[in-house]
Amino acid sequence: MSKTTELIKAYLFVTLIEGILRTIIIYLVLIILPAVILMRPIVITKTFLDILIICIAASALRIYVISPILITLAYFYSFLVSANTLNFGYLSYNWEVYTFQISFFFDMSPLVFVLFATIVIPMSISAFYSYYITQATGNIRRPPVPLTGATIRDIILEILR
Amino acid sequence: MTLRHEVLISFLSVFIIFLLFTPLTLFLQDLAKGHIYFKFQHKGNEVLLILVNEGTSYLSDIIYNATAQDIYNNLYMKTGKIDSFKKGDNITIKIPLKIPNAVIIKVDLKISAKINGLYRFDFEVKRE
Repeated sequence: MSKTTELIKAYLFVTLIEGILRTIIIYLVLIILPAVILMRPIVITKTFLDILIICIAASALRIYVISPILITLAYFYSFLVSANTLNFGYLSYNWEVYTFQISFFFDMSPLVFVLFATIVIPMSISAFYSYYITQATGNIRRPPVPLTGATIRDIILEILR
Repeated sequence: MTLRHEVLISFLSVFIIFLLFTPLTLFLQDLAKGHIYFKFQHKGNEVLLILVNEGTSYLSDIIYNATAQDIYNNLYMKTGKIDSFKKGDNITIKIPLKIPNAVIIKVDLKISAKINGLYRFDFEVKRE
């Protein structure tokens, strides 16, 4: 197998792993975490697939400015889905404790605001920041390097670069 | 694009969120497991609402507004303040009735309290 084919395979592998990892982070932090805190049922719906597609596209188009925009879109989209599932923080619980039926209303909009402020905004800023840093450092002229097949170490370093 | 920043930010934000909302999680777990519960008693010319705390979380600066409605649509209200409600405490709220032994069809308790001394939350407990 030629070195070029190996590099293409490595590129596809990096793109796929990066997309999946980012989706898992988004899903864990924005959908599963608030559901666990507010004791709501956790459901994995087609949103996971939507976010996965957006994230893989963002990873594949990493050299274009659309990539941070897509990442921001993924975060905003999953935040809105999560907020909508949690009814924007206004929750009602129905628990039967002993003989007392508790219908329990709770205003948890602070959690929704905290989620937005600590996750969505910093992640969007980080996406744009790392894109512009990559652009600024990626256009420096370097001497040509010999074409070699990518090792697993190279792939992991590329993902965590 | 780098994932390193995103992994770091997500760790940090999960830490912050857990730090901020652990008291709330504890409180909700206490309610769900029945460690904090409400009892309703109807004795002669008064309705008793008893709040019992056997859980780990505590409430402070409680302002409550209890209402009871009888079968003739009379509405009885009682408001009050309680300093703290910690493990082992029982609070009895007495609502006097005009018509003794009237059938109570609805009890509504609105509570505004600080959970674990950190933040104030309003919630409402109903029984119909």
